[in-house]
Amino acid sequence: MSYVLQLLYATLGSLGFALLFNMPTRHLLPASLGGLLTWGTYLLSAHLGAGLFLANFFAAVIGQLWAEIMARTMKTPATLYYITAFIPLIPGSSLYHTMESAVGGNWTGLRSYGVQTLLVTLGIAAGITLIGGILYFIRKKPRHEPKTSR
Amino acid sequence: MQYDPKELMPLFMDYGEALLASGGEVRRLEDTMDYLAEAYGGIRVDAFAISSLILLTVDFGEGGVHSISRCVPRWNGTDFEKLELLNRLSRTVSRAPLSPQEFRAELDRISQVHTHPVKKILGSGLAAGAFAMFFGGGILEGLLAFFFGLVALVLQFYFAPRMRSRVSFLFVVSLLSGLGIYALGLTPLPVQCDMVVIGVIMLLVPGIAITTAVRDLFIGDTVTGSSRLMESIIGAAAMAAGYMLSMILFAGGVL
Repeated sequence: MSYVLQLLYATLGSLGFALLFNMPTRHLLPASLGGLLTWGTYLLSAHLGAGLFLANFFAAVIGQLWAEIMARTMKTPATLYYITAFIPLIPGSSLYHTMESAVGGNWTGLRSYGVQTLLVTLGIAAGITLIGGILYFIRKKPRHEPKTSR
Repeated sequence: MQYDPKELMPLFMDYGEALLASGGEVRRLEDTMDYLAEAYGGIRVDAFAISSLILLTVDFGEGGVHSISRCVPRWNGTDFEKLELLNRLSRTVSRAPLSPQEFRAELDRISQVHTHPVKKILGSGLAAGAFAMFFGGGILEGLLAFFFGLVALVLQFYFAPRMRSRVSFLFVVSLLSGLGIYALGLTPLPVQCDMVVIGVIMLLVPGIAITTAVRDLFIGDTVTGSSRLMESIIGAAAMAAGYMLSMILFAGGVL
């Protein structure tokens, strides 16, 4: 399938989930763009030879950056933006196929889909955690002063 | 001590429960409990939460030490509008504490927020249709997935309050929507049923849940992460069983 169509469907998929999750109207457009951005990053990384893990990792890094930037610009929790941005990446179909193989006793399928799901999930989670960690580190003072009780 | 802690603590719990119920992360909840309690004069705040339980102990100094816990329903939906309003409320409060009455009134107003049905219908149809085509279906599969996305939504409305566990709910919804989709194979329409199925699956499959579960594991919320991870895997298995059963019923000529 052409890259353009994939990007279109990814954007529409993000928009669909944003609507389903009751996204306030002013966030709808930028949130769908987040889906376009992550899938674009994924395609570009894959095109440049990145494997499943790395491509998802890069896409998640870009998606999370987008979410953090939009959260600050629009004064809203980053959650709204990263959940919608990651919609095209989430391993929904491979998770399903993993369990389908398990239920059907297809051990080859179980292994390959299972590994696929694992790599995608780990890639996305690593991307989110990296950006979250960096932001926490550079954010002004440590927030938790030593707590003292009476 | 300006306000009575006995009044404040249940308020914090109501806030926390609302936050989890609208899709807020456990880490966000714990942080917000710190902000809120400190805004109302807490000297030391200990907040701990997992996906189904919130624990909070606040030392108010002269006001004494107070503890409260709250069990919350396991099935957390996602409502971004509520999440945004709740976040705004906590920011307002940490700048200048509201009186408990005002705080309560704000919470009540936020709990009135509901998704417009048109938004839900359009959203699930669009998501299912887009993913049917994303995974290789044509326009026909996209349109059918749009329709069956709506069917899945109606089934969710009906079964979600009537089922005790998420697993049985996912099994039933998958089985019924699967029966509908594979019945299309009996019609003369040139439909790739699998593409329609995958579009609808994307609506229900805990793909977001498994991703955030692993994220929770990475940032150290191990209990929440592991329980959500297992829930997602078992949920996906229930869905697979439902769809495979519906496929077998047709392929085997039972129906």
